[in-house]
Amino acid sequence: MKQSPVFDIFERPGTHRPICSSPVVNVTLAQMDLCGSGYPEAFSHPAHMANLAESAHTFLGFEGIRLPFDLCVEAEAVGCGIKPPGRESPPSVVKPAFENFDSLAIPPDIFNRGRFHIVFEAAVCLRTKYEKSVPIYGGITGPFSLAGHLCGINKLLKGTIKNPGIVRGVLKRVMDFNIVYANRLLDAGCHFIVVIDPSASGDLLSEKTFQTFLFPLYQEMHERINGKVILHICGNTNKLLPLIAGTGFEGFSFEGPAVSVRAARQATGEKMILIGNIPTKTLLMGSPEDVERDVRTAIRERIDLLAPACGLALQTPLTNLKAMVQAVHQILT
Amino acid sequence: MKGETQEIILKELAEGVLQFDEDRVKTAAQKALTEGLDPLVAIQEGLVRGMNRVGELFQKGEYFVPEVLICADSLYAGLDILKPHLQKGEGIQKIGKVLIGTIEGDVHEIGKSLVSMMMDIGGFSVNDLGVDISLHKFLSAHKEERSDIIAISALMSTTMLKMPEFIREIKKADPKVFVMVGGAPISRELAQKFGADGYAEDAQGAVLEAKKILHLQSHDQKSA
Repeated sequence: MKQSPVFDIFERPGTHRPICSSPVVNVTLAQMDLCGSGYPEAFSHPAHMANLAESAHTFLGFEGIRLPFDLCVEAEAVGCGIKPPGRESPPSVVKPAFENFDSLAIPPDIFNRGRFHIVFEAAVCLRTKYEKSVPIYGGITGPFSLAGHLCGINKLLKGTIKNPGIVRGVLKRVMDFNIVYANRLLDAGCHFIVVIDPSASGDLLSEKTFQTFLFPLYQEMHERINGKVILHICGNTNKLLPLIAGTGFEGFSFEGPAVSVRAARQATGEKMILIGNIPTKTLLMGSPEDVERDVRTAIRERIDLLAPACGLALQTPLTNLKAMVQAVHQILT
Repeated sequence: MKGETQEIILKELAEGVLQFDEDRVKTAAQKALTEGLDPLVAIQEGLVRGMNRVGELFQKGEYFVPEVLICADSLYAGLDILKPHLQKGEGIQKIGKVLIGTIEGDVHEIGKSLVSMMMDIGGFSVNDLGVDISLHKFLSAHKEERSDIIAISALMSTTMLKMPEFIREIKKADPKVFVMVGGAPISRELAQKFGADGYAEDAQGAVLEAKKILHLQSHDQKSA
């Protein structure tokens, strides 16, 4: 099988023309109808998960497959209260697993719990089928967001000021687990790890807090994860860009219109593969012409991989997603 | 009590909140009581004034969510001391009732909680239903106790799509109630399109917007 050009883009930054490839969740109700695997089964059956994950490639023409579709796999296995998924909603964390920071512990048999085996099985099955012809992105919940799930996000945010030492310890424990999980996903067949850390957004944290609490963790994750890593942070990360550029992570996926490709490129130079940033709102509510306009801007400002700016709304029309892929072809030929 | 002492205590209360120094706030609140300062004045001209300043710093990007949360903790620590000493029936005068929650399917609580908190501090009586609130829950809570404003937030474009239906049904059940919306994917333009009466970008803005909707002057204007 021919190797996907996405690997070239990561190996030799700046040499390949941009393509559509999404490391963020790109699942819609329309794809569910087309491929025959939908929510909620796709969360609990490996074959359905794999089938729905590859639908972005088979039906939309995205050069990439992303799994799983939620940010609860880790939290659920550790013991958070979870609202189960429905036909049109992913599962969500409704209750922290721990009352206080001291009791936070990742169970040693964590991978025998919850839905990890489903994600691993789906990854194995996709890797066997596609080898390196399409990149497989394995998403994990980043340390700040996972710690927020486990202890409660308000408590964690306050802790950064009230108990900085304790919070650093908590984040370190969570990060150690993040790394083990990431390496397991790579072993199972994922080509890239996507660290999704929405709670580390500049909308919530100052530069200084990000620098003190997250920057060293991300650097260590880069060192200890045995593969290429893409960081995804939602919202306004403009002030954090210089720090993000220094993490060592190979890719950064970010959200438009809050963060422009121009700003991200300026801050990261050629150090990172830039991924994004087509607003999910354009994809959901805009016309194909609106999508083309945003794709054009992203390409002009030197994006590497075109992707939705964040997880897609399930109701996003296929026409807009196909318009995204078509626009890239048209603009570049 | 000398006006000078009063000024110092009020300043301590406001500064304590602003510097998120809970102990300083508690000490100042105790001092307010022993010096015979009117607790209502201590709350409004001390604690709340400090918190309004916090809101301004947040809007300017000098304070972030962690700071705001801790400032609020300090404010509430002072309130716990002062509140029991308010004259019976005096209470803190409430300027309106707000029912608030995140929309069904959306569990993002931070923004909503900030709005809820600033509304409370800003003088509204707030009934915070929490996250992932169905239309039915909003309607039955409103039926049980009528509010002036129903405030709904969504952080995801997916869940935001439910807003027009929520607003339509709420207005159908009670044409007099005002609906405010907020959250990352929403703009003023979109809020109008959805049929909402109000929109704000952040918590401080939400308080001002709520006052505007109810044709209330802001506290600052009143005291000026």
